[in-house]
Amino acid sequence: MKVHVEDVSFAYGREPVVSGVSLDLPEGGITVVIGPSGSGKSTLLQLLCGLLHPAQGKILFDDEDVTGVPTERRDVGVVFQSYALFPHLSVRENIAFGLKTGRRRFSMRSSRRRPSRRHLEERVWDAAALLSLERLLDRRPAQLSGGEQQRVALARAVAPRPSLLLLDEPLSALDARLRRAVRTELAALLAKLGTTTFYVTHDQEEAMLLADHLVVLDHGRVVQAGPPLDLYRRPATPFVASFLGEANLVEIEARPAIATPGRVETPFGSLSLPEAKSRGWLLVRPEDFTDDPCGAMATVLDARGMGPHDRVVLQLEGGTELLAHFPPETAPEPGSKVRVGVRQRRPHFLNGGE
Amino acid sequence: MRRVGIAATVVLALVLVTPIAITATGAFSRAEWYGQRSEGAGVETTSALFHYVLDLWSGALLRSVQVVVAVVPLALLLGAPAAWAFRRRPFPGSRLLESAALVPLAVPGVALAFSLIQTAGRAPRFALLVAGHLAYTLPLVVKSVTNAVETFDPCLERVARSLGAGPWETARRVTLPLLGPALVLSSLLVFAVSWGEFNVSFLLATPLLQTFPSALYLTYTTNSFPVAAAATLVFLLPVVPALIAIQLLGGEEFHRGLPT
Repeated sequence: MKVHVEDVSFAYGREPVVSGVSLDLPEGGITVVIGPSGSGKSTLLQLLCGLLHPAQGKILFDDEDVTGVPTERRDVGVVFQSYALFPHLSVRENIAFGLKTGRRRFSMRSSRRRPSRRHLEERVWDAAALLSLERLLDRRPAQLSGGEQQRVALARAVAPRPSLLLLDEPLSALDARLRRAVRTELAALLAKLGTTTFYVTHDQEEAMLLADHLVVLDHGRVVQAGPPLDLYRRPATPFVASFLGEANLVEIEARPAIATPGRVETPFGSLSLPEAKSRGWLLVRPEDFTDDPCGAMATVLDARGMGPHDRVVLQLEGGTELLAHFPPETAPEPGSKVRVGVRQRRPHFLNGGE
Repeated sequence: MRRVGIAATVVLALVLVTPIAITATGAFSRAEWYGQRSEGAGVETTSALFHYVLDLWSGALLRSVQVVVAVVPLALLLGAPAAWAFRRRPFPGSRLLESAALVPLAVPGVALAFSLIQTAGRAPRFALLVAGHLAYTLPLVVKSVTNAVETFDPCLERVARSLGAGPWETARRVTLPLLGPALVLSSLLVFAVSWGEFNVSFLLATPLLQTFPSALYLTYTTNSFPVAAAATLVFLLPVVPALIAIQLLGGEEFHRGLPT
């Protein structure tokens, strides 16, 4: 199912939470919305599932206007951060819940009615098998671990085979180690399901791993949307640059290099930055630095081996501090001087400095 | 700490149970022991005594049953949805209203009874009586149901909606089962309070509309002690199981599987 959100706004009382958001969720793809807390991402999810209704704007599911349609007729599946498993029901009954409701779909697109008893058992079993919950069907939610609860919540959401899956920070209740394992499983599962998915998170790695389409939200507005790597490489604003991974933003005046149009003089030599027009920021990711005898002179302030890379803090002669990732065990001693350059075509220029 | 607990239990037992125990023994004793005249030949034996009491106050007993049968469902029907709304759909002034709902607990029955007559004196007495009882019992329902609503995740209701359950189906399959313990508990409390309510009932009573507690008062003032004691036992008969049930339901067993 294609989802189109058009100029949607919502406010709690007088406080605007979502302001003029327009989005398209690609059919069958995973759209990840990322933003700091309070950016309106969970509110946007509730607007999509119909638990809140926008003050302004439209929401279309496959070209049908569902803006005023209540949740129970929207054909969505939701997983909340708290999982919200029904504590009075067994795992089996939790998964079967959505198969037994009197849902009358908004459109006749999906010809789903209440399945027969045998059919219902099959569907519960399928959903349970999909998430390896077969052995837990008779347990109560209180008897499950956090990871198991998360899987039950997901099984319950997908059992009725919704056209749109909405996940609200589904991994944030898990501890870091488990989260990394579940993240990979979840990516595989979502790919297998092929359901249009809207996924809310504040975790950048989760976003990069899962997203087909990444949307960065800040103060209730879409700051940038596109393929995740594009956003990482060519962020539209310093906010996006520093929210998606670690960013060195060096403020410079984009003076065209003599006789070479499209090239700009930077502390790291002249770089090809056709997008540079005025004063702005040069974005260099920590992994983009190279050992370059013609590069900028920098003092090593701190160096630490992280395992996969060495984390080095450098200071340019002007006082600008930079974070650089060096290959493992190649970091220079703190206090020493190095010359650093940047990889060609990697840096990006953000126009708009003061 | 343990000694304090034991001491407190003993004091409680002495204060609460002793007077009732003495009253109870009265029902099985002879009136003469209390220096009172026996009430005729019919009440010489204990069973005759109970027959006499039931005969004398069957009207009041019936009234009390009628009141309780009206008050318990009404208190739940009014109190539980209000309590749910206070927490799930708060509106401007709902906090104030919630606090106001507790006020009747502190209003003397005399004041409440007379203000009921003042405001709706033409209404049927039975309706006034039920209204008076509701004033005392609604706060109990509101309080225990709001507490219960607070303990469960509002996302449960949202998930139910997203799974295709409309508002009524969500109430039936999610909200009510989760509020079940609180609803049973508050209906028992309402029953116990309404069954024993004296002030309002006594002041609103007419000769034909007397609840059992006000009949008890008359018994104590006019009949001999064994008769009054027997009437008290009859009164206590349904209350004791209700109180025991409240105790049992408060236990852990009842809340197993519910969110903590």
